[in-house]
Amino acid sequence: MSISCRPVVAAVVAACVAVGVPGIAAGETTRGGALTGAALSRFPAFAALPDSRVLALPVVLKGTLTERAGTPLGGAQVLLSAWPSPEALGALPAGGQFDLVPIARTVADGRGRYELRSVLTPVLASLTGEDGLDIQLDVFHEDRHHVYLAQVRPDGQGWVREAVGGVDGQTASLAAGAAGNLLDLALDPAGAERLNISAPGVSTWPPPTRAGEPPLTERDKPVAGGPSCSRPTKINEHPIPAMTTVATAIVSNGATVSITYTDGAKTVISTGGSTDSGFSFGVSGARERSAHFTADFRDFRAKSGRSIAREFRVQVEHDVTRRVCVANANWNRYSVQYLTSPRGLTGGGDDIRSARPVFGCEDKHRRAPAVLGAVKTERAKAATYSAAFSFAPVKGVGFSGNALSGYSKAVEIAYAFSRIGGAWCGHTGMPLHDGQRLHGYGR
Amino acid sequence: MAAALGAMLIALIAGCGSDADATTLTPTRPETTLIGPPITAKDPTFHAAVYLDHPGAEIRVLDVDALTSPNVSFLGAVAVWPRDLKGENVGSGPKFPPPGIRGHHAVEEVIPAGETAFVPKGWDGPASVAIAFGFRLNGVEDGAANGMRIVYEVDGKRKTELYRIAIIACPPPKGCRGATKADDPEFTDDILRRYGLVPEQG
Repeated sequence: MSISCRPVVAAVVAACVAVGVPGIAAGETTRGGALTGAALSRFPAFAALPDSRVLALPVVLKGTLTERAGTPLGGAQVLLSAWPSPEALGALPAGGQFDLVPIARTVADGRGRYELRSVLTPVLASLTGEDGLDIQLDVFHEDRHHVYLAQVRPDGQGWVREAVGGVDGQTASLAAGAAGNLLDLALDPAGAERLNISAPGVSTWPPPTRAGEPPLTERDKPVAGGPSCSRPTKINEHPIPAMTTVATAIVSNGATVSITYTDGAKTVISTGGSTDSGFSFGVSGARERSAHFTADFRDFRAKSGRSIAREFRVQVEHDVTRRVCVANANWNRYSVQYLTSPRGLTGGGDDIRSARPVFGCEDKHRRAPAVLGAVKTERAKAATYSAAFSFAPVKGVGFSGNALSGYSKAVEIAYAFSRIGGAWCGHTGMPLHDGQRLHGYGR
Repeated sequence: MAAALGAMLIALIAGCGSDADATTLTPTRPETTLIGPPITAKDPTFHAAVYLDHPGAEIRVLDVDALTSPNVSFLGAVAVWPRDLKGENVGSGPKFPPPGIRGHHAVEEVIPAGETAFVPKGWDGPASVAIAFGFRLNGVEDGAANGMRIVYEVDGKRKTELYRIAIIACPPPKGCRGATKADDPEFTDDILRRYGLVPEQG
């Protein structure tokens, strides 16, 4: 697939200006921050977009950018682009290239605050999959280039993003209430690419890649005068599977636990990134995928006086992309960036003994009596499972990510009490609180 | 085309429609479902408790409400203060007011800060105030409540909490057990849908 984005973007902007539509007045395209530096050289297509600060369009994303230590990334250039749908990416052969479609750009203010604005264009609509539009944030601040993958959904006249802190490598948090467009990021300089690395003399082309990847060719090489990053390339021939934890449960003393994971279940899965040419991978965002199968999980009944702790898993397939960027102003040093993205949940379902800390219900602050036949969770924010899956994006290097399956009708944990009189608890709070792993026991 | 583009942008700029009121009880998919309190023919009442966790603050409940099927009566609510607990939290089950406590208070009675800071015997910190909602199943059909709301003040600051909790009650002597009831994965949805307690698409 190849989408030539600059003419499309320019045409939309020109059309808006020509008809005098409010929001992009003639002459305003040059106000706001101009695209400069590495952001311009790496992604020149964004120069055609006005800074979102001068636009009165729906907010796609907004928030605050800081370093992990809390220092605001004031003045950071923030670029937002769209990926192809996971189905389209999956259909590419190994070595197939695609374009990131520019959506919006802006410059963060002195406190690191930013807003990215756009309408849902026909192009963006065509890239939107069933779970939403896969997006990429490129943040340029001082000598660092950060990459973060995420997802938004068109929602009527605006955009929506589900808050999934914790799965995406950010501080675990659960936003109460409805989804919004808020995305606060605390970015780790150590996880970013360092720009303008000086290197003497001779070109380092081609940079080393990992065994088993499609070899780098001339079309992967940035050419002086053009973008200083190549088009992204998909490098895996086959989807890379990883069994992924979608639920855990502890059951004790005569109670029975049943896990439901049915067609339509949604799981948010970490995306991975590498800025050291594939020597290591870290969590760089998250995307949600829906299941189109029903996992056949066993029920577990604990004997009297005994406990069972299990993890319930489904298979998730991943794709890996690579792009080569010029790393310095002399155009004689190159960096290779890798990104992983979940393609989809593909079926299967197993359960394993849980290796996570087992917790009891001794703490009365976490325990709710249930003199009932059964209790079940349906639609609440579930727990984020760290190290929920792992796989090797490139040969010999592992990536471990997180997962969260929000309980819903499609994902449900139910406890049945054979004797009337049971109780259940959460691992850090009451079982009805957000983000709880659960333990049910009979009396 | 230009007109359509302009109209689209104008509509976008005019803003979205307002979000649904987050403080109104409406038929909504429950987050938690409680099934089968063992009610009796002699006493077909049951309860479900939620918790107000504001230790050291004065609490004043202004209003309680619940959404029920036509064959379930909402009996109001009582407040169970930390001092009223006999060691265990109030949960859900048969009877109303809930059994197993030292006492309870009218829900509109102001709960002093000293009471919300109380540490019951056997606890390692202040317990929450439990608001136990009461219901009664009338007749011989299965019934349900789906959704509870509390409007209250914490140190004078007003709050509204909606609890997406459903409770399904079945008449004695069989209760909710069995292949056609609690063992049927569609049982709770069928009950809630039958009485319009969830949206049709829910």
